[in-house]
Formats: sequence, C-alpha cells, structure tokens
Amino acid sequence: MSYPSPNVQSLIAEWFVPVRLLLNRAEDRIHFRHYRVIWTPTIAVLDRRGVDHYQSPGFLPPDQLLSTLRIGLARALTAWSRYDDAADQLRTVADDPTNGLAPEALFWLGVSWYLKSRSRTALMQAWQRLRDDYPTSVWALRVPPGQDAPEP
Amino acid sequence: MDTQLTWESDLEKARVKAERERKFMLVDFSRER
Repeated sequence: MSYPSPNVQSLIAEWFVPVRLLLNRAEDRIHFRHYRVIWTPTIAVLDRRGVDHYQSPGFLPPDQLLSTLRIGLARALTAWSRYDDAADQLRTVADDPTNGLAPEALFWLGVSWYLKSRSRTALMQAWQRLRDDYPTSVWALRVPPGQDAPEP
Repeated sequence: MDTQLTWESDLEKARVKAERERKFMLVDFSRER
C-alpha cells in the first residue's frame, strides 16, 4: 500500500512506528498467521506489547485511509485508557457529516466517553446523535433498542 | 511515495522502538509486486 498523503504520513509519524510485513518473505508469514491476516493489503494497529486492536483490509483513498487510521488509533488508545486522546481522534472523523466513517466514529466516541465517565448520559450523547444523523447506518443499529436520549 | 516514513521490516525491532517512543505500531501486511 502507498501512503502519499501528507496528512496520512503526518498522523503515522506522530503516533505510530510503521512496519511493513510481506507475504512473499518467508520469515514474515508467521505474523500473518498470528494476526489472522488472510488478505493483502491489510493494515493493523498494534500496541507495544504486540496486541492488535484494529484491522482494515484492502485499499482506501487517502481521506478514508486517514479516517480509518484515526478510528484504529482511537480503538488502541481506548484500550489503553487514554480516553481523551481517543475522543480527539474520533471527533475529527465524527464531526464531518460528509465522512462515510462518521457513524463508526460516533459509535466508538460514545464508548470512549462512557468508559471514561461511566456515565450513560455521555454515552447517549454520541449514540443519540448517531441514531438521529445516520439512522440507516449499521452502526446505529448496534445501539441497543430501548436506549433513550439523556434528559436535557 | 513514502518520503517521510521509515518502514521497519522486523516486527520485534519495531516493538522495541514503539516501547521506547511510547507509540503504537501500524503494520502494513502486504506483498511484494
């Protein structure tokens, strides 16, 4: 995969150590098996213990790749209890209504807010927005039925 | 085109670097063309 976009390169440089593993290289194949990668290209976000938090298969245009990286990064940050940093990444995606990944970002934004505060109100601020703005999104369908908007 | 990025080819070395720099790893599972 090529990473020509300056914005993509900047995000990678700030947050990641980039690694390229090749299916054609015999010594790399063990990692394909370990991380259950069955298609190339696939990008994966791993923490510094080697635990994978997010995978994205196939090619993506630069804008979608950038948003995908932000969501993957946010998933890892959330797992490491860095909720504010995760929310910063997710808000960047969620606040652009033309972004096709906004529903997924809103879902995980609610999760991140909830895990930080244990507040159902915080969770529903994101999830109600998800249901209102993207009612047909599969991410809106993941919100359990019967979840109501928080009290004003 | 990856003018600014240095891609590691050894996952363990990358892991040590990520530990030192307190970063995550972005792994591009790819194939040589």
